[in-house]
Amino acid sequence: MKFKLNFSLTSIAAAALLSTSAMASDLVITFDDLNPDKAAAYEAAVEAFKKANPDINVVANNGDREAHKGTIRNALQNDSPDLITWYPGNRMGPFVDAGLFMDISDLWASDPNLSGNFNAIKPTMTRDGKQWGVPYSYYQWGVYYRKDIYEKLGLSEPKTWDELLGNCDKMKEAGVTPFTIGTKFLWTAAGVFDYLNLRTNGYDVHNELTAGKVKYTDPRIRDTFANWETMLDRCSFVSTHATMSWQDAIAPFANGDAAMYVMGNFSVGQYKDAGLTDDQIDFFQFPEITPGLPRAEEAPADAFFIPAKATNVENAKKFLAFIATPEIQSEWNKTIGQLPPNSEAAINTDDKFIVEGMETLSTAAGLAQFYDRDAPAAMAKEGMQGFQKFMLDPSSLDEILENLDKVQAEVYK
Amino acid sequence: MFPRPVEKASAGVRWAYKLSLPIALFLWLLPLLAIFMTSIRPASDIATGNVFGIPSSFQFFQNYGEVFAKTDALQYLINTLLIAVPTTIISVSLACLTGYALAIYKFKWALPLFFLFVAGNFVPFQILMLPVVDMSNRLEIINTVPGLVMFHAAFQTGFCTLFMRNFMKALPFELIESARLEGVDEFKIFWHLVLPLVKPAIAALCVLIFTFIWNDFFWASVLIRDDSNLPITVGVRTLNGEFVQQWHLVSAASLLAAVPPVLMFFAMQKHFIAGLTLGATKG
Amino acid sequence: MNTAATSTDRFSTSAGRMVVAAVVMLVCVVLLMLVSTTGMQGLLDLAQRTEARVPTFLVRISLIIAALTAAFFFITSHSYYKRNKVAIAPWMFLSVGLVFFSIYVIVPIFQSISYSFTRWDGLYDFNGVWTGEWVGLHNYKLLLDDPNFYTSLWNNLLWLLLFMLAVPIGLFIALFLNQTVAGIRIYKSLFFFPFVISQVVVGLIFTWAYNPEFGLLSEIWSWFFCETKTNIMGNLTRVCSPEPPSILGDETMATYGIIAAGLWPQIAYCMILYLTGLNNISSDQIEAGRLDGAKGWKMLRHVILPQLKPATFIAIVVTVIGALRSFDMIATMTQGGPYGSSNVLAYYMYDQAVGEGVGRYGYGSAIATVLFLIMLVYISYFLWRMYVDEMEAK
Repeated sequence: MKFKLNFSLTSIAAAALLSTSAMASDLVITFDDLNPDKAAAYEAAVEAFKKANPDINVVANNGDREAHKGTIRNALQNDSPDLITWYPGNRMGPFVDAGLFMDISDLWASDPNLSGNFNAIKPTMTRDGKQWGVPYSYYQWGVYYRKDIYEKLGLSEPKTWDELLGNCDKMKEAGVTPFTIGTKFLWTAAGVFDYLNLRTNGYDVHNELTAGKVKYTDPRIRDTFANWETMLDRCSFVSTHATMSWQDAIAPFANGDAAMYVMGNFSVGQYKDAGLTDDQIDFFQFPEITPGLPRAEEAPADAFFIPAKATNVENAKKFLAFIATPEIQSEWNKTIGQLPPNSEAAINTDDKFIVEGMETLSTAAGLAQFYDRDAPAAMAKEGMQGFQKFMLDPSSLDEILENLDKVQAEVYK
Repeated sequence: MFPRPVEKASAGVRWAYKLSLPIALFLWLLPLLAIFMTSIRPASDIATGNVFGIPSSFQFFQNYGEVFAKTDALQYLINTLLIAVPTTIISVSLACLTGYALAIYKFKWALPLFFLFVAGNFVPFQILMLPVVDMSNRLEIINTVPGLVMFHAAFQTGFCTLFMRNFMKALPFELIESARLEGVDEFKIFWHLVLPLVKPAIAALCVLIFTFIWNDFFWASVLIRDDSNLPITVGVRTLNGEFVQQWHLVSAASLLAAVPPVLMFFAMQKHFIAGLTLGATKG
Repeated sequence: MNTAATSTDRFSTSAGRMVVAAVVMLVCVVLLMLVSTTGMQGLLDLAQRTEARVPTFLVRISLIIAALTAAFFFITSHSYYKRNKVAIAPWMFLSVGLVFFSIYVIVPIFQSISYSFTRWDGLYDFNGVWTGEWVGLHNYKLLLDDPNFYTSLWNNLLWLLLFMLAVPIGLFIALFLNQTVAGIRIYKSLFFFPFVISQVVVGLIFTWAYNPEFGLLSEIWSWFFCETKTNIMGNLTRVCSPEPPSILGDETMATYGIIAAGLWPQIAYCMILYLTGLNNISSDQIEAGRLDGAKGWKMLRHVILPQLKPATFIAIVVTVIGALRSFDMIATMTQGGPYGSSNVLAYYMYDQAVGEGVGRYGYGSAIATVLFLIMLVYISYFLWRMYVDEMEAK
């Protein structure tokens, strides 16, 4: 635990004494995840980088993820670090458009590792034909379920919508709530919406919706909500979901009161912390709804960007190239239990979820970044509130969709 | 005295009153007691629904120790001190000056300017938020402790001026007048004559402003980004995100955040209440 | 001139002081400009570090303080000051506080109002050029068509109305505690206790208390309505009929739940105001009232309450301000949810302007302006009352 003010005052004194000597080369990094394993993986990568580049003085900052979403705009305009974490896809759009991220296409072109091993994710990092960041991790979404409950009830992993609904009926008969979810922070509901929309209408329609080209009152989107209503009806969710965070929602899942959870792979560690073993939990891809649609998946990526106002650009690029290497990518993602975007990186084959995730994503016809990253923040905020409202009160659908159209018209102007 | 003192009532009423006091207090502080009990329970008690009963084992030191060991709670507490103490000193000092000007001198701007301070003190924070963020950004003091101190000090100067001016208005004006007649300089009058007289007001203000700033949440969450500069109020909320399902630790951290203002209150109770209630008796 | 010139000795000291002060002032201003234009880079090669920002800033502040001190000596040494002491001194006393307060409080109010006529996401481009555009009354038109705005406005009204309960309840507790039995002082302080705790902590306490799974209320609920059963996996699970209320997760209850939590410290505040007020009531009047046969309710209404008027006034003022500033509790308890149903203008503004990077600065400022106008009604009333008091005092 360092005390910043003190540190800097001594460094002033030191620098005043040493001001004639060669300028030390710095690298200031801002990361945005305080969760213990995430922070540990980041710190380990920084340590490895320091070891490889002893002449660079690395200042590694870390902060709360939610707070980061609000404060990044200050960071980019002033007080710029040399590297900052942010989301690819549409979410990087405003900063790219305002010229606040640095174009690093040259790095992507000149570094053989980046140009050769990141083909699947490259489109996500691209805007206006240029690359703006380097991803360090991504992960799959899908349905996590209690294998032991499934076995007890004689159910099997559903491949189609009807199979899923049939499974739900049997669970309810047995007194099990089919799905758990915690919508207090809204975004979990967006995961359900994304999958229903991807499976009902496919990747292209979903993309057009989040890009503001399809209205929310469009009959195709209404179909998605009709399916959601069926799901609410036959596959009910735990009743107190609006007061629970996604972690709170694990409690009924772990206790055997609920059997399935539409979630991202980062949740697996939490299931195990809650006492569940690999034998009790498993994963299946969200079942097909409209037959014959190419299967698209949610695969949000996390990436590093260089702010346009960064002072130590060369060092920043060195760091980006460093964390893109197969070794670092595989180390980092082993620690946090996610997938390396680098196709040459090794994955942990002992982890069945990672293996299944690799399989799921490498065969997908399209990768969505998640609703709150694909849609602009102002739209996502309203949209997710609408989803939560719909889950609590499906009868207010018309009102919700009309309001979302209004917001859409304003936000995408 | 109103209501009629219970001493004058019958013995039955007296006993009923004395009995009702602890019961009322218990109910009044029930949420606080419950959270305290939670903070010394093991996690398993909460899972099994033992919320009211005696903890299955007393984990006072384990739980509070864990909060310090696992998180930056200590850093948060230090940051809060680094924010609250300078703010208190700056705003109270400035208010001694402005309050003096507005209370003692009779010039036509005295009342309008006083009202400007009072009005500014009551505006909603949100109307200030974006320009202050923007300005802090351009001065490059966003996300720093001094940056937050600057805002707090400026804003609290409004309240402190209101307080000081009213307090100084009640001073015997003849004293100042006679000092002037003797040719004492204005600044010497202020320093040697008035300041010693307003010491109680300064004490009361310091306690109040310290507590206000200690408990600030909004401005810290708007102006501070890095974990290493956060004060405890925002820090506790971050911990709430980290300690999911670990209510014993969340409670312990919350109570820790409340300790310094509470100590301050009990140590300086007289000044604290005098500060809060200035104006409640006058007029 | 003539006062200073009466003694050549004093004149020269005075002139010497003025010259020194002027030189110091000049040096400080030059240094200040150096620091501002080239940053610390030019001076200490340190600007690359993020930490350098703090010392740069502290250096600037020290320079400003030095310049101000020099200016103070310069002015007080000048003969014009010596002739017009009483006219100049108040402005010197006021200067720093007034400028500081204006920069951070008064000017931003007008800036915010001007933002509200723009569409802006808070960003400047790489060259520091503002990226927004002027849209006139567009944001206000949007506001009139925004259901969330009406929800927030309605909730603000609820807060204002229900928060007023703090005043009579505070009075009631104050009357209850206004006795002289042994240990009453400690009871009074302990009753006041909730006010000292930060709203964030109060919010966390009540979030936990309201939690339908394992909170205080659900525990009490389970004594009456729940039984423990074994579920399919052989684990114990609680089955309740009816289910415990999910106060913060239900749009019809969330706001009331937060207000109830907010009342807790506010009642304590009002109580302490009334306790002080009761302490200062003249016992003569009470005795006179008693002789007239007034007691209980009649006494309270006709003798006590009129004397508590100043306390009531302050209690209402702080309660209104508290109700309109209800941000911390909402941020900790619901973040405005479920789906915006517990929003108030203060939180909605924050959410639209900076929450999760939404960045609608123009729209947020329009909301803030509306909130400001509501508050302005109360501020005007308060100032008018103060004005009347001032005039009476003269």
